[in-house]
Amino acid sequence: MKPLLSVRDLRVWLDTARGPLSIVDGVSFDISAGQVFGLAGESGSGKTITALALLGLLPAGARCGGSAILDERDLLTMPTAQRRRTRGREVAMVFQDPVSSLHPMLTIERQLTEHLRYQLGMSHKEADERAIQLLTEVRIPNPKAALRGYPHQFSGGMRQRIQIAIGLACEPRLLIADEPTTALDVTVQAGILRLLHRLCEEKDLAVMLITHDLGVLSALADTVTVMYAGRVVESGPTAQVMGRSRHPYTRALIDSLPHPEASYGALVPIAGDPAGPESRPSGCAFHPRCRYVEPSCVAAVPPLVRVDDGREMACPVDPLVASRAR
Amino acid sequence: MSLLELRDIEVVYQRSDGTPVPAVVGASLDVDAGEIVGLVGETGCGKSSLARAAVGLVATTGGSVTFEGQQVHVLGRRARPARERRLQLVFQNPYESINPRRMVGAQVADALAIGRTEPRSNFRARVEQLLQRVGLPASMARRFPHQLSGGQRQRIAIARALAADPAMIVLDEPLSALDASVQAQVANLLVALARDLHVGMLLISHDLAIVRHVAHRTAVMYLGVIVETAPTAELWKAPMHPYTQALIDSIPHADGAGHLPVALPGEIPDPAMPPPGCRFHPRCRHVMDRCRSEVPQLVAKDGGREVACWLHEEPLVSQQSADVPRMSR
Amino acid sequence: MSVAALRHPLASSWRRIPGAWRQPVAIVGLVIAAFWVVIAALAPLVAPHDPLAQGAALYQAPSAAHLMGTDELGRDVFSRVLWGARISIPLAMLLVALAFTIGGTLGGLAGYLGGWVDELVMRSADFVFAVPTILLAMAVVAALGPGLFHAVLAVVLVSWPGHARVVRGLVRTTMQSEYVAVGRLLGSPTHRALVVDVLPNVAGPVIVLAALEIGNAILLLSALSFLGLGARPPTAEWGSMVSTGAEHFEAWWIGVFPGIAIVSVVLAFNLLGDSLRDAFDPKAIIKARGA
Repeated sequence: MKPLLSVRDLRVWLDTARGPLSIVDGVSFDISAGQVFGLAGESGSGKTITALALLGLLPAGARCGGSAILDERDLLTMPTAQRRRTRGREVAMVFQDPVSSLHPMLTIERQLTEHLRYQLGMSHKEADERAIQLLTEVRIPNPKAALRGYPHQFSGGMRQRIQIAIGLACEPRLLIADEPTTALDVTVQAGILRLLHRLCEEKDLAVMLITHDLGVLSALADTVTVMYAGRVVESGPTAQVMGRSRHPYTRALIDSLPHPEASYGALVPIAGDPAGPESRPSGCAFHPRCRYVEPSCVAAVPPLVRVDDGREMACPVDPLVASRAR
Repeated sequence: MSLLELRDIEVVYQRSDGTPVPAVVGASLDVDAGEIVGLVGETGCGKSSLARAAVGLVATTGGSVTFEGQQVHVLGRRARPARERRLQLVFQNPYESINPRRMVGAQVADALAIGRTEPRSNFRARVEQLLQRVGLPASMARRFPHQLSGGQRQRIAIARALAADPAMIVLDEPLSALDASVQAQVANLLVALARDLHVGMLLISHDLAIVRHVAHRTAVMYLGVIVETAPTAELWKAPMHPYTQALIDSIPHADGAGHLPVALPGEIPDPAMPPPGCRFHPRCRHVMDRCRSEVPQLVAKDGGREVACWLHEEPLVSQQSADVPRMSR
Repeated sequence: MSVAALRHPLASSWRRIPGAWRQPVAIVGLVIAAFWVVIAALAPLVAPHDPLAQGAALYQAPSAAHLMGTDELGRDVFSRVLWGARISIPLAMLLVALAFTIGGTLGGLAGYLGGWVDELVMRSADFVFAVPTILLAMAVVAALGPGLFHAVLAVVLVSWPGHARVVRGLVRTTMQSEYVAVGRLLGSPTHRALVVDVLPNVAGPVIVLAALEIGNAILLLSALSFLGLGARPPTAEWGSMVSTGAEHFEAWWIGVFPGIAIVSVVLAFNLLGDSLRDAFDPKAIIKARGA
């Protein structure tokens, strides 16, 4: 099946006084309709910047290269007017903090119908009806009354649902969710995850789920791409990448998390701190923290190699990868 | 008698429009030396308020806080009494709890300068010792906070508390602001400190999973009330309170199996207008008539456990709720 | 937090000053300000003529002998302009120091003690703010009697609230910060918190304000002298020279050169203050939490 979005060699860098600072260094992936694509990484991995690049929302001073083809159009090189139409219409984004991403002084109705009237040219009445429909879909109780409310009157979970409703307003094909549940309580998070799952199935919606929370990815994502210091280190079906993780970083990350099933006792942390764009080590960016490091890791950036079970990995030390290289 | 005893604590805040918000409604908890007690709960449960009340940062409107057998004073204009300095607090956000304009070594030495138990000439050596204790190189003393990562800053905050030679440390969400891979480092550090220095810790967190690895005992809080306490292993093996069960069920597992966690219906109510009877009853799967009108008390059970739930009480003929005395541990 | 490294560091702002001063605007400000300070110090040695000597021909246009011409009493304008710096600049600095001491102390007390002290100080400050600055200054001088010393007092009176407000705000914010709470928990008495935690946070913005205020002070002093309420003749003060120049329009050099002097000094200190403010003000280039 042809992917909905095809990203190839996406690079984002900052032009600083000391030369270009690479933030995202050649990331490629495909997202298909009806699929939840998980992008995993910690601080400095570049995962949020990747999403911002796709939407043309990079901060001032940042430049990007590579391609992101959605329906034969390159999102990265689109003219501004066309990009504005694509944003919201075909690609929508939901942010982490519903406190700051909803306008505090506009009613919910206004924020929901604004897109509908602007992008789809609906009348006031049509837009209101659709707004009620959207709120019902995201399971906001009492949608009619909710329309007249303001964001501060809703809880964090509710606001996140409203944000999702706004994102879905113009029936996009791709919904990018950046840490959608990180700021929420765990019981509320469970509700949002189920909502996203249902929407994905019912509407054949593609979801790009960006988060550092591996548990959330495991529950919701069909495929997972793990990023570290601006590069992809492992990607593939969730069951493989997380159930049978092989890449040293992925393994170390999973091992450092508290599992409800794991035995008690000390967690196994990863030594050192996550590498950021300013301090990216040479060769494989993870090598200073890696248990299996060898000279080949420092010499060159390991390429992403396809291994047999549908995964891709960037690690010269892994036997599966090494055998492929030969 | 425990090192830190919280008895029937009540904390009330004033909202900006004047409505009183009872953040904590009768919470009791004990922490012993060398023991790590985890206090877990979600937004609005009052755990942060309880943490601050425990060290005297906020005033309680009811109940008592006892440290080493003596009442803990609320922090006012005067300096904190010397013996209370052995009860410390580590804040959640290492970006805000450290003065950005001072060298971190100087801040770690604050307790030494204030306490005046050591001559100034010793400070440098002590600071180095403390930094090493929290796993940081001695050279870090001359750095400024912005040069440090989140994990390093949190270690500095812990070192600063350790400089006061505490017998008890309350930690308010110490791991929440840290990256996943760094959380494990700091969590392990806390366990080592409790063990090696015989320091008692009250660890506040919303993350039940990480508390599982760190705490000897866990207490669960909901809407201002402690609903269950138990040795951590027991809590996970056989949770007694439905809310505890719901919390455990809602944690997603990072095993690639794709199971969606169970969602708890409803929303956390406004603490200013709690439901009558058991505060959890509107969302409880096992709700009974009794739950809607009578408030369950925290009652001691076998194995050092306590739970506040009518499911675990004998049905009574009379209207009065049983007054089961707390068993000493 | 990864891209936090790109944020300007707060604490080593002092070290960033050299960097900030490498910008052309800041260099211009620094050079001009330094120039005038040097002039103020060396005027007696550099000025070709005695500023009060009335020997030369009256109303002479600028020439080789008198670079800026002579005024209505035959005095060398150039020398008078140079000597004017000896009045304006030291007085302005003294003035700002006074305003900053008084205002800073009052503001600090207000922020620290709160309650009625805070109310008293802030309402007084509000009163001063409510009245147009120059009018209030004029009223004070009128009450005390004209003269440079009274003019200085007047400007201190209208300047202290600005400092008070800044310091009060900073003290209040810092006292409520978590690291002060930590200090209190460690047993620190509140006065220690003031010195150890509040002072480093207050120092930066206060210095920026002081630099900007010097320009303001010079302007106000000159304005009062222009109105005849400050320096008395025959003192060579820029404001009064401009005033004289306004009466003798054909001899444009009498008023224009002192005017240029005022403008250049005020501009210089403003640019200096701005560049200091930029050095102390942390601006995130990219604010990305977990990019």
